[in-house]
Amino acid sequence: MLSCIALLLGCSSGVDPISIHDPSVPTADRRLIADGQDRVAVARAQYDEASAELVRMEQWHRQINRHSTWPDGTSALVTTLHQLLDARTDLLELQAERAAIEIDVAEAELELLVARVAVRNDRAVYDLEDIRDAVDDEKEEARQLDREIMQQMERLDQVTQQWWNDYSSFARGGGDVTPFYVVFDRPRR
Amino acid sequence: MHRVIYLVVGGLLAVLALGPVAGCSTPSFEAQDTAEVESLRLRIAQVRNAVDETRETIAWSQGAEYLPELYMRLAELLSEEARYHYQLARLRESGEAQADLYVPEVRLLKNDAIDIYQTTLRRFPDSAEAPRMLFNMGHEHRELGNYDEMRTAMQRLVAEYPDSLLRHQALIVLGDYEFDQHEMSEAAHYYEQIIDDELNSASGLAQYKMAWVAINDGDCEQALDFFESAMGAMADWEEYLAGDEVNLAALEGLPGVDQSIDVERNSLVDLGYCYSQERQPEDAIAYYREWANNRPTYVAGLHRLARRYRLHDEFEGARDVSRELLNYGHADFDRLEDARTLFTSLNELGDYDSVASDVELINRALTNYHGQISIEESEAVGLFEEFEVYVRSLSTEAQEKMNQASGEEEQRQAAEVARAYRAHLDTYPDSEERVSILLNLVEVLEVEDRNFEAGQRGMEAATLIDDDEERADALYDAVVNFQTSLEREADRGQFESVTARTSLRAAGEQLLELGLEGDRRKRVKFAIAESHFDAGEYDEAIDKLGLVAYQFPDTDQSEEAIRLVLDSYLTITDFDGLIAASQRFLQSGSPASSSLRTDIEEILEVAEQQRLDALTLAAAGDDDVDLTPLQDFAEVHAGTETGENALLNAFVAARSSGDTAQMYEMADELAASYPDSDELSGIFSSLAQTAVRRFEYDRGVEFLERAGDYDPEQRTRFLTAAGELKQELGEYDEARRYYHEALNASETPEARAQALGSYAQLLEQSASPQQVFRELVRYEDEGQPEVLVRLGLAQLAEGNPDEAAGYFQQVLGIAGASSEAEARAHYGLAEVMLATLQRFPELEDFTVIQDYITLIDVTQQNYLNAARQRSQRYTTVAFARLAYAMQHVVGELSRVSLPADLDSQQREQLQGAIDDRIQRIEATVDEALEACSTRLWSSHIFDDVVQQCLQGQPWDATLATYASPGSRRSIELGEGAEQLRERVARNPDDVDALRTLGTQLLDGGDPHLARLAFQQAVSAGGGSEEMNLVGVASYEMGDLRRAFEAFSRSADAGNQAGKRNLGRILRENGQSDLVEELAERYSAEREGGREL
Repeated sequence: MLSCIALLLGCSSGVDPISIHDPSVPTADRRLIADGQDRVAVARAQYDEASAELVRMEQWHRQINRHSTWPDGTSALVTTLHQLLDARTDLLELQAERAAIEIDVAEAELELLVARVAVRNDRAVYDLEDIRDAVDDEKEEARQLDREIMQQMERLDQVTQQWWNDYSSFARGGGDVTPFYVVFDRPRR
Repeated sequence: MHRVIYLVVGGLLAVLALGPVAGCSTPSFEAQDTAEVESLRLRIAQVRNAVDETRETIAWSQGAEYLPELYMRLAELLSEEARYHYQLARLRESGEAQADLYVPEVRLLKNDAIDIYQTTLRRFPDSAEAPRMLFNMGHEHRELGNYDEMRTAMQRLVAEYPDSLLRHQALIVLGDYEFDQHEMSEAAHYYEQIIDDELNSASGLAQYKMAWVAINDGDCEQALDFFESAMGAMADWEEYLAGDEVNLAALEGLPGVDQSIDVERNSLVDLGYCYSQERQPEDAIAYYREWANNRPTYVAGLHRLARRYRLHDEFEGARDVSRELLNYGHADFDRLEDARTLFTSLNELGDYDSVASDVELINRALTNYHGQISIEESEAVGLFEEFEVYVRSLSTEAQEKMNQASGEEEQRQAAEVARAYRAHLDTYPDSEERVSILLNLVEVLEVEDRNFEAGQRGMEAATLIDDDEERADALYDAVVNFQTSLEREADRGQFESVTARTSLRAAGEQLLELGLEGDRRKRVKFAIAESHFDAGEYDEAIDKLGLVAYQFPDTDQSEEAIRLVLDSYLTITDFDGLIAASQRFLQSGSPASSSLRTDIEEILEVAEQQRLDALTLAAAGDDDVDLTPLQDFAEVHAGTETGENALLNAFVAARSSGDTAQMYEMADELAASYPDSDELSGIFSSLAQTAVRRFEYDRGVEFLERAGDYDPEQRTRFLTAAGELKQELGEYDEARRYYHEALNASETPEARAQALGSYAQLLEQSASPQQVFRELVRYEDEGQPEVLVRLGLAQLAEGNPDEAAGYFQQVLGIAGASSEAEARAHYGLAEVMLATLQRFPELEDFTVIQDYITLIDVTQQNYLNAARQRSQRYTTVAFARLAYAMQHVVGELSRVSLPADLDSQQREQLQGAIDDRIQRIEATVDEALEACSTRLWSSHIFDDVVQQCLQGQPWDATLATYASPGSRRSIELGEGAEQLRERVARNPDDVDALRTLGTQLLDGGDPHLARLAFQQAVSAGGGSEEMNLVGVASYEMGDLRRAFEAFSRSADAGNQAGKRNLGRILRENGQSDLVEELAERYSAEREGGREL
């Protein structure tokens, strides 16, 4: 996987990859590169996890959509439930997107790292400024998405509060809330 | 005659047998004999042949000594033939009772045999075969029913052949006859004769017979003794047979009377009647085990005993014996009986202590018997139904009893009952009572705290129940049991946990479909939700627990659900979720109770802090720190301690990464948002340090002022630091202002000590003596040495030596005064002495002269003391003033008028002493001037005083002089300087950056700040070049003294530019003649460096 990342690096940017087993590179620099590759791998794993959570949420939402035996008088509550799930889904989408961007950030940082090592060890000449700018751009994009996620979390919080308010009122009014309890069984991981 | 009959009969029989083969041409149906019949016929034919052979042999063996044996053999053959005929007759007449069989051949043959025996005995009375012949004859008589003749023969054998081994057999026969006649004493008489003899093959049998005699006599105790003796004798006899001394040849062929009797087995079996009468049932098993020689015997014996116990309702004995039989007996019909006996006994006794193993025994008897292929299906079904009742009855009775028990005993019984129920379920899977059994088992397992299994059994019962209400009860109990099982985390294995959770949910979902009310509904929903938590499915747990909490507010389940929701968030480290949930639960209308809300508030506080810590950690550690998350967090929590901490952490993160711009930004934001924060003083103090490191002194002063604004208690310290910065920059007026403010900001001498010291130094350098006195006298009482000594110098300069002396004395009396203060104090005292010398009366009197000379010495000593304090400035001044003072003294001594009343010799002596002292004092003058001059090169000092000394002139002013630095102009540097500032801020020892920055400042017109940069470069390890630049900046500032020192050190280190700059200063100040010395003093090989 790490060698794939190294190849990816070579193809995308013009920065030639450096093997972590290259004895001509100082050990400390090789460790730095290895750390950078690890960060990319971790980012990919986190993206996979975020994607899986999103798929699961979407499956669950579809499952609830298919549920047809809602008791009388629950249409409003059902609507709130769907809003809740929509908000959750939207958040997970953003988080998955954020995880994807994190891969880009990690890859850009790795590229910069490799370029610095190359320059430091007189293996190549790169315009570090440009590469640094590319990292900054990715980070800026990530920050932007972080803000969107925070906003979505606030929205979700509002929707969640609404859901609990409506649910609580319905239950206190003697409504049959058992179907809602049942549909909260999620698809298995 | 008999022979003829035999032949006729034989021939008849042969004809009959041959039938169709004999010549009848017509085939006809014939009855086929069985194989047994054919076998007997064959034997009969064989024995007849043998008989014929024997007769023939007898015929031509007359007179032979073996003739008696031949006759005996003949008789035995005849007896054997008779036996075969009898057997044949039995087979033919299978429906006939034995007693009704009429077989004339038997009688004929046996009578023949008897005749032979009698004849032979008569003819050969001494034959060795006589005992056997008598025995056989007696046997034949017995079989013919001729009992008298039998007795005669046997008695004759016993009487006439006491050593014969057949004697015992004969006695047995005789005894049996009497026994059959119910003549017990007679029978005993015969048996006892056997018993009284040495151990023999019939000993055991005789004992056995005696036992039966005793039984008939109604003496069971004695009978038991005889039975035991019989078994013992048999064991002894077998041991004898296995030994080395046995004469097997003698025993060979010995006919065994009643060989069908297994004495040991029969004894053990037959003693059952008497045992049941005489012995305790509880000892039976041990007793039988002791006496049984093998398992079949043991089982047989117990079987008989069991029947006795059954018959007499001896339930304890029946229980024990039937258990034993069920354990060891062969799987046959008898075991079923034993099982029934066991059941009856247990019921009657109410003994359920071992109900589990008893039930298993009963079941095993059934299943083993059922396994036989010969059992009819209907019989099997019936047996199963019958035994199911037994087992169910025992188990339920045992449970009833268990319900009366408590503590450890209850637990023990519960384990038994549970096992019994399991055995029932396994053995009777199709029982109509299965549901009841399952539900009973559930109850028992609950007592045992085996809740997992109880849950499983409950689920099983539910699947078999048709009635909804009952099924709901079973499912509910299952849920409760699974839930209890899951609560016992330490006792659970992985399998049990997973299964319990899955089963709990399945049961719960079924219950929900059935519809639940009230407490059950709440409990089940909570249990299902909790199982998700237990399984680590925290997303589901959060939702479902929330549903429970909101549906059932103000209940135990709601409270626990809320706690678990928060716990779930904490476990998955979703601090945002935890914070949001906590806030929701704190709002009005939430299901959290007031006491719970208190806990939630604490949780919220901790969560916010942990979130903040996480953000701070994320922000720290990177070169390129992103403080946006922290800022956003601060914004969300604006106005709270958490928000303040967020900004503080952002500031710290910026400082750690060395991002000055962000540091400034965070500090401003913090000050604007939290003006009352306790941290602001420290923050601005930190910023001041950073600014100074960046050589942004003006900004540093500003930050120090702000730090003082936020911390009144430390304001004096901050303003003092600001004043010192200004002083370093040569902005003396500003420095003085800050010192003033610092002194006014605090009332306590301790707080003002630093300020006073710095202020006093500044005044010495920049103010007139009058100003110095005026400014410092108000602080006189605080006793600061720096203040006191300068008050003294000021008084001195004003011509008040007496007042000055007081100050100097005070300073020298203060322990811990600085060396500069002490130098000045010694110098001051020397000046006071000088003033005294100058006001001394005319030297006309001897005593006066003496006093004057003493004062000279004291004065000189004080100057030297001052010089020894190693003050850069006052060492030089002390030497120069010493020269001055001594010059004055020389003048005075030269004008001494000797007293008139002295004679010439005295005059001469006195004059000589005075002249001598004058010489020495003049030498002192020269030495002092020399010491002052050499400080030019030795200490790199080039000031007014040294220049005077170089001219050979002492210093004629009271105090040292100070050159005022040129006024400073604050400038703005270009963009490149920012990077340099960043570099030096991150690394104060970056010589290159410091030099470059200093050069930019110098070129930009701020030599004051440039000098500080160059000085730091030198401290950081810079060389002669940087030292030369210090000199250049000092020169630009107008600080000649400092410039000379720097150039001198630079030249000393080999810098050409430093050497040339040094030369220039000397020339500009009228010391051109010293320029030539430079070539000798400094080699100056390094080219390069900045020149003036």
